[in-house]
Amino acid sequence: MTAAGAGPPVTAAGEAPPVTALRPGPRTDPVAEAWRTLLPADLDRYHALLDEALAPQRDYLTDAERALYQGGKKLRPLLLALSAHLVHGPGELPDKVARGAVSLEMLHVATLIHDDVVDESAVRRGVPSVNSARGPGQAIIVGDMQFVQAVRGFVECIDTERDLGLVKSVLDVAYRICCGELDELRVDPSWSTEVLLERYWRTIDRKTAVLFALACESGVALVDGRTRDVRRIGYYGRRVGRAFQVMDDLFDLTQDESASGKPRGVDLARRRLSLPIVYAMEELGDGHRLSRFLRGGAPAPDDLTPLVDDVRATAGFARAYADARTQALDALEYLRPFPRNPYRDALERIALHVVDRGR
Amino acid sequence: MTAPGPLSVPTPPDLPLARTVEMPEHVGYPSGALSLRFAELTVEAEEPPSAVPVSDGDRTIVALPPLVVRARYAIDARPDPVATVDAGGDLSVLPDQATAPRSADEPDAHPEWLENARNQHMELAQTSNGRSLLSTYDQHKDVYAELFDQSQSTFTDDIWTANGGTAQMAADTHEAVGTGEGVINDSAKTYPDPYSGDLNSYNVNAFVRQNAVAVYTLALDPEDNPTQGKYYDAVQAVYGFAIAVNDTRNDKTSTTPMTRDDVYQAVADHSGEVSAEAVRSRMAALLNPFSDDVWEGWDDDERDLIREFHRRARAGREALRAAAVPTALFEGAGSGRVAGASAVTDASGAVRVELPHFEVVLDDTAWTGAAAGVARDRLNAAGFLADLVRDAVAERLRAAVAEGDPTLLADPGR
Repeated sequence: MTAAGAGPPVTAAGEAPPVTALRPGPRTDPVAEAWRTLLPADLDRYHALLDEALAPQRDYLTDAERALYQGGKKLRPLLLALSAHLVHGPGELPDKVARGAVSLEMLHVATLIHDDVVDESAVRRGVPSVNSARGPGQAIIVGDMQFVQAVRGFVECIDTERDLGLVKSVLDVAYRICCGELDELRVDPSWSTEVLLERYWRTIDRKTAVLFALACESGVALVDGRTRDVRRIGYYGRRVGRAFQVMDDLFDLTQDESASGKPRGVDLARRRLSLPIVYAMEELGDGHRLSRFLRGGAPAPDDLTPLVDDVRATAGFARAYADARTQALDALEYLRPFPRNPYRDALERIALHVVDRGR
Repeated sequence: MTAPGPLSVPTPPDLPLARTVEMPEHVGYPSGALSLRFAELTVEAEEPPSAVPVSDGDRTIVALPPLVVRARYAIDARPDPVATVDAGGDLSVLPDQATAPRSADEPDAHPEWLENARNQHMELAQTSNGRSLLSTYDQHKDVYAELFDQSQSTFTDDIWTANGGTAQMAADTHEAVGTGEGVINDSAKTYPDPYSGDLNSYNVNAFVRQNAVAVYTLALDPEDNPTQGKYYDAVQAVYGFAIAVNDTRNDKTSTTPMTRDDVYQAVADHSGEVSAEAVRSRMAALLNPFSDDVWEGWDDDERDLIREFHRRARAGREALRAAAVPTALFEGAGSGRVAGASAVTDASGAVRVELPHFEVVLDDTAWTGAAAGVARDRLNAAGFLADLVRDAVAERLRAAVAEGDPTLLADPGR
């Protein structure tokens, strides 16, 4: 046994042999690392074009709303830029790639603003949510504005006939996100586990994974990549998106508000049937207080902590984590046919980090 | 006082670590998936408890003695062949470099095919029915990608790449569509059947592949006789398309020559609606291929073909499942020490155990080879997994404290 913190044993030659350990704590974030070490020029270009893209809204956005764009890791724009470099190589990317990345983030921000209206969330990315600051009516319009500006940004990316297809893809994705959000609100907890699971995967595909796929596909398409590469990188993106959403659902049950920006167990509070919750309901049975609460037969308790703990104590919680890992590992398989280069390595690290990061 | 003894902690389910990893020779297959399995997980006090509970407002806190977490683990391997067909891309056979443990930049074997396919995609999207076709494909493409996953189905080897017929059809389709002048389904040309190698027309081969896709897709479903779900829906889409093609007076036995423009005109003119009864009839045959009363509209050869696909698809699936029995590549023990744990009881009597972060170090001295390196990297990176173990230990301790376990709590009367 090795005591924590004692460090690995040292061989006679003075070299530390390999040590394998289940080790908690933070890991190097490959998202920040990729921006910093691989794509610093792209990041500068992104910020410059973001300022340009937000300029027309100057009179309508508050400082806090502009700060929304400064927060977050810019994961989707990064996936777009890495996918572009994956096939383009290290050279400077066409301007339309950075414009596409900005538009993608605007589309994402639009969905966040609308999500916060639906969820009545008070905080987003560490600042007051738009709906809490302005009320839901104005928040919806501000979200719409981000969406329209995002589409306009994608239209400005068009300089070949093929790029026209990108605008269609953006509109398709936006439509599916709306479908996914509505699907989630229309889930009936009395459905069978099988139906709930099928609905869960369809919903997260629509509300989350399609945007990840679009990010990756846009990156390859905007550098005139091969059609099969566009499609294949989309598969990677979709699977990373699924893994990301399952992990988000797990963190909802484990992370404190200080880490996640929202109260722990908010999915439970809203009777939102995430993957670990569906698995837990199946495992605990219809008579359990969790199932009775979610199916509406029991009133909401003042303190949801015991219900959160119930879910975390089930095998279903770890089973959902295994599902997230499966998606991330599948994502890596779709990178195989691409050339091995630093951009592919970064995409691999990101897929794994999505499921590896701890609390 | 009771002698300290280990508390058994419920183990998490097997957790996937890596795919398509190079396997040691003794395993019997070249490429495998790795997963972590906990055979046992325990926690016990390292020394007798001695702490006295202290009050903190309406909470009571008691320090737990130093703890030792012990695990027995296995790194299991299952067969996981690297895909040889570009299921995420254009369904072409991948170059060797892309199917090796490390891929390399390989130029397209047929870049002109891909450019052509891209143009046809754009052309299809110009009409309402064309967009509907593309959308339907998009809706089911994940299922079709599974069909080419060689750890799940033998479709790739049984049908898609067998005897080279698919590639020849793709080459001729490219030629005819590219110039716009040639006939795509030229009845004068023949292609090898995937099973027998016998030469048959384009339409016969299209019929064979449509039905093979349908049967093998249905065989992906873990339910043996599914009547709903994504596999069922994907097969319905296959037959919807096949029936729409029949409306152009093309089927297995008759060929109406079609040029590129004929195809686009047919797509534009078609309503997109197909007979639900015709789809239902085909699905009935697929779901019950060995019944005698589901074959109205099929001839004997077609019935025999579907039955043969059914047998082979299921035999392939069973073979893959049988081969998927895990092999324990590495087994061993692990342990970690936890100091500073405490149990907190609130006014309602609810107990919570607070555990500091701790590591569980796995004995990996016997690990060798490429799989060892991959497993080590993945486990060392898996912070969430460490959290899972910590949560499981905390929950077990919570239950033990709530029951007044004497190995964790000092006797107040001592």
